[in-house]
Formats: sequence, structure tokens, C-alpha cells
Amino acid sequence: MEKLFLEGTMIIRLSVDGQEVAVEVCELPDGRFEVMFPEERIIAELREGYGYTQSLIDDQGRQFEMTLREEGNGNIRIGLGSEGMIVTAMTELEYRARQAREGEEDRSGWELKASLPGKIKRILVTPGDAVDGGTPLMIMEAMKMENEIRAERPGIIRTVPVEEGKAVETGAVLVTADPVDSTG
Amino acid sequence: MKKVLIANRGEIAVRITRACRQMGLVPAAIYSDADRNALHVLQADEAYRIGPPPASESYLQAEKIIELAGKIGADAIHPGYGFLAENSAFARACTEAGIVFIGPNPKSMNLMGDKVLSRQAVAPHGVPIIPGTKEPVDDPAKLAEICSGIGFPVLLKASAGGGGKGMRRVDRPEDLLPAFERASSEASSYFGDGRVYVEKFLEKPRHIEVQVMADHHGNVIHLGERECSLQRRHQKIVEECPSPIVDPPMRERLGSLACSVARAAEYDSAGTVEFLVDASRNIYFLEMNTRIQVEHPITEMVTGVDLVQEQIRVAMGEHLSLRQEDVRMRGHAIECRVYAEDPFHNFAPCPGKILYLRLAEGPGIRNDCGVAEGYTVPLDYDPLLAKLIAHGSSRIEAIRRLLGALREHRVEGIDTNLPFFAHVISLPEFLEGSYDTGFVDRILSNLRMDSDPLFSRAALTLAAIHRFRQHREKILPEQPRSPWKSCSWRGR
Repeated sequence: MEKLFLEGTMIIRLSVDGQEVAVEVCELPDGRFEVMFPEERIIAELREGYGYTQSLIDDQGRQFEMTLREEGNGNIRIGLGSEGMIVTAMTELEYRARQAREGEEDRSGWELKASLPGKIKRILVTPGDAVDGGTPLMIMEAMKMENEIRAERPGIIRTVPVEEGKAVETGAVLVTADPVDSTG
Repeated sequence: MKKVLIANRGEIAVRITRACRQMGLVPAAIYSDADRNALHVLQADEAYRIGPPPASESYLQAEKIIELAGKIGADAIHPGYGFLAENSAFARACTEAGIVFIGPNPKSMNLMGDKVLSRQAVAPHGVPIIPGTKEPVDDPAKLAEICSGIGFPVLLKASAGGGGKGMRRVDRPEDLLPAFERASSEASSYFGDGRVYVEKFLEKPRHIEVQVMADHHGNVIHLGERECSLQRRHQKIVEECPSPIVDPPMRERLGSLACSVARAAEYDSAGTVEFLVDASRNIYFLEMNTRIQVEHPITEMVTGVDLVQEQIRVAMGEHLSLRQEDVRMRGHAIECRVYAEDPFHNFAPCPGKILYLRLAEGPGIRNDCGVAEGYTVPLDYDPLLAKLIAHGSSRIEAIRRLLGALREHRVEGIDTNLPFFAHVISLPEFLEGSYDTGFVDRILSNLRMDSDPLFSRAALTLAAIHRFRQHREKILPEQPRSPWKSCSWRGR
């Protein structure tokens, strides 16, 4: 396929909902961008919108007014109207660094901290329980609503240093866990 | 009545302010330090600081509020919903201080506020209640006898409170005692009252409520029903009026039951009678809410009646401005409660500053918004920001308008549950109107908000370009943006 590009094509690794795809991005002389997906080449123009929106217009004239917010760790929250999704986008270097970091974390366990002050309503796990990503660990009340706090990754619960009925501050450690394969 | 002190905050305070202004009454706002620049403060004619952020030190300070009302010459206090709205001691204290409480009389409020007492009060008037105990039970032997009488499965519930706490479903007699002990101890720790009562467990119930309005002259009318079965962990998130499963004879029955309940309670303000309807369309009285409710706008859109103004008029001693035969329901309305929550992280609450706000508009679209751009959503109160309501001449038109509005709506700076609505409202169970109170929790346990493929494609493209530009700026920070000045391009 004929490709015209400015010096500096970059590979960006994208991932949504566990599905990964690597694309090549470059800027064209006219200011538009070319994004090469495995099956498709997309050429798009980016314009500033109002508020925090950017307008993307593709080469078929389709317009998307989207909002973009960095969430850290390569994650970007993108909204279109009231639809939303979280896309992870990383350069090759960032991608490799993250792989290495996750490997580390898998070997060293994790801890979950309260992101808001609240009150512990119910504790659903005890030390020794094996949990998966998404397993509910406890129910916390914050801003008058009940929220289920879930594990982000698999692990074996080591400690639960909080009590039902007690209030906690932001940053308080709620749960600590050991990696699933402790022989690693 | 000239001046009304609005003892609340957020969207309902804005709503009441609007109603007062339209009636030529002077709205006076109260605010905590967290709400110094809140929209309800900016919109009122007068505004008074009531305390530091915690609700217990501000919006719940009954004595301070009544004292303030007296000092500023307020003739009435509107309590909104939540906070002091269903506090009969507060209502009584207002009256004793010579201030009109815009709500029902304290005796009715008390009676209907107790789940067990209210059921006892309405049963003799021919209002069906869910089979179960009328009093709380503490004797396990008696409990077993009652349960075999009702038939399993049964539901054990805390008599001192709700929201799912102290609640246990029991399917078999042998599970009864342990479940009772756990429910009782949970109720004890949450409400300080371990008393538990029993009722029949209804399969796939629907929560259908009826708006009633009564005056001080014995007149009681109903304004149709609302369907509120879309709930997440017992919190309503989407409501619609009328209910997709209620036909005119059922509406008549619900309305007449609701009026019987209001009369049994000697009710004299705006209120809502809640029912549970099971899969066989049996109607059971659940409880009565003695206040104006969050979802009142959908009834307003369908009946054309301003419920808040009517509630204020009734408090002023006037007769109801319409008779039952004047109440007409036209079209269909649906409301989405916009909460500061993150649907991608299990609806974790999201306090923070609203950086940008753009509300949907157009025919049949109504916004009851309690926030403005630049406002920092505090973490001391519940995260309800606004309500988006769509009305249409049919249910499908309301749905179309709502989906369109959801595309226009923008709230930036904090996360909201807006992405979740478009997903839920497009599901077959919602479109068919066949959802029950367990529906949302069931889909949440397995949530995949599949995006429109075009949006996915555009989002991935944007993410890639964004990361590319960001990285390029890092390694070539001084490079001018114009491609004409420094480029070398090759063809391949």
C-alpha cells in the first residue's frame, strides 16, 4: 500500500477491554494524521471543540465530537455524547515498561486503598481467600451511596485491616493480598 | 405567604426556588461552606450560611434553621426531600414557631414513616399488603410458624430501616434461624434496632408508585403512577411515567388504593404511595413517602401539573386546584438521574470540579440541573447532580428523544453515570418494558458496555493520535507545528 508520511512514524499499542491492537501513526503534510490499523487505513483531521472536546473528522467526512481525559497508566477515557470507553494507548517503550512492571506486581502482591473517605458497611472476604480481578471485597458507603469495592487483580487475601461500621480516610489501606503463585 | 426558606440544596433547592419565583414568593436559600457558590445559592433572592460541610452540622440543624427562618421573616419552610423532609419533630417545631411547614401534618408523617405501623393502618381500608407479619418478630419459634403460614420463599426485613440492609431472603425452613440471626444483627448495627419482620418474597417485583396530592380540606386526588424499577442497589436511576405495564383499569385500581391510603393517613400535602406488583400483576402496598420526590418531574410532564407549586398552594391553605376528573395523562416521560459516579469503576462516587457543562435541549427535553460549571461537587452529600427528562407523545418517542439528548449532554471534569444510561435504555428489556427491580443489578454483574463500532473506531483513532502527538512533543519540543517549515517526506 502506498504510504506517504512525515519522518517519524510511531507505533502505538492500543487496548480496549483486553483486546490489543498495534497501529502506526504519522502526521501528513497537510496536518492530518494517518493511523494504520491491521485491516484499515484511517486518515483523520483533529479540531479543537468547546470545553474539553476535540472533533475528529475522518476521510469519509464523518464527524465525532469526543472528550478525552488521561487517567494515568496509559489509560485514556474517551467520551462521545454520553457513550464512553477507556482506551489504553502506549508507545512501544511505555508498553514494554508496563509489561515489566506488571510482572513485578504479579510477584509482589498488592494492596487496595480507599480513594474517598467513607464507612465500611460489610467485609466480604477473610484472610486466605483467593480472589480474581472483579471479585467484590467489601461494601463501602461514601457520598450516601453504597459501593462495592472490587479486586483489580487476582490474589490471596493477606490482611483486612479495617472493621465493619468504622469510618476510613482517603488512602487508608483496605485489603492487602499476596500474589496467587507464591512460589514465584 | 411571602417568603419561603428552602431547607435543602442541589437540584431540588433550585426546583423549589423556581416554583417560588413563579408564584411571586421570595426564595431564601441556606448553604453549608461546601455550597458557597452552589447554583441554588446563586439563584435565590437571599442566602444564609448554615454551617460547615457535614450535613449533621448544616442541613440537618433543625433548630438553627427554624431560628433563622424566624429571624429573616420567612413565612414558610420547604424541606425538599431527604434531610429534614420526613422529620416529624422538625415539622412540629416549625408549626410551633409560627412557620408553615410545606409538607404533611406531623401525625400523618409519623404514621406513614413507620413501615410496620403504616401497613397496620391501611390494611383495614381494603388496601392489600404483602402477606407477612404486621409486627416485628423476636421469637424464632413464632417466626417459623408465621413463615410456614405465608409460604416460602420469605423475606426478612429490618423494621427500623431500608435500603436492603438487614434484609435476607430465605428459601427453606432450615435456613430460617441463621438468616434471622444475621438479619437481626445487621439491623442492630445499621439502625440500632435489631427488630425484624417477615413478608412473602415476591418474584421479579416491579416498583410502581402513585403520586397523590391532598389539601387541608379533605380533598385527595391521584396523578397517575410512575414505574421506578430501574434500580442499582436499591437506588432508583431511571423512572418513567406512565408504567409500561399499567392499563386503564389497573391505573384506576392503583389510584383508588393510593387515595385510600392517603385518606387513612389523613394526609394533606404532596406524597407518593409505593406498591410492589408481582409477576401475576397482584398489587401490594409497600410504603408511603411523605414528601415531594426526586422523580416528580415525569408526572409533571405527563399531567401538566406543577406539583411543587400545588404543594406550596395547599400549604397556604388553598383548595386543590384540580379535581380527579381534571387529571389527564398525555404521552410518556422518562427521567435519568445524573449522578457523579464512574460506571467504569463500579459506580465509585466522583467528587470534583465541573469544568464544562452542556445540557441537552429541544422539544420534549427538560433539565432539572442543580450544578453549574466551575462548581466543585462536594463529597459530603449524595452525588445527584441533575435530572434529564424526555417527554414524547408515545413511549417510543420519549425513548428516541432521551437517546438523542444523551448524545448532546456533556459533563466534563468529573465522571458521571451518563454512559450507562444510553446502554441500559437500548436493551430489549427496557424497550419492551419488561424489566423488574433486579434487572440493573443482574446486568451489572456481567456488564459489557459494547460501544457503537463507529465510535470505537473513532475513539481508538483519537487515542492513537493523542499519544503520538504527546510523545512527539516530548522528543521534539521546539518543533513548530506547521508541517511546511520542517519536514522531509518520502514516498514509498
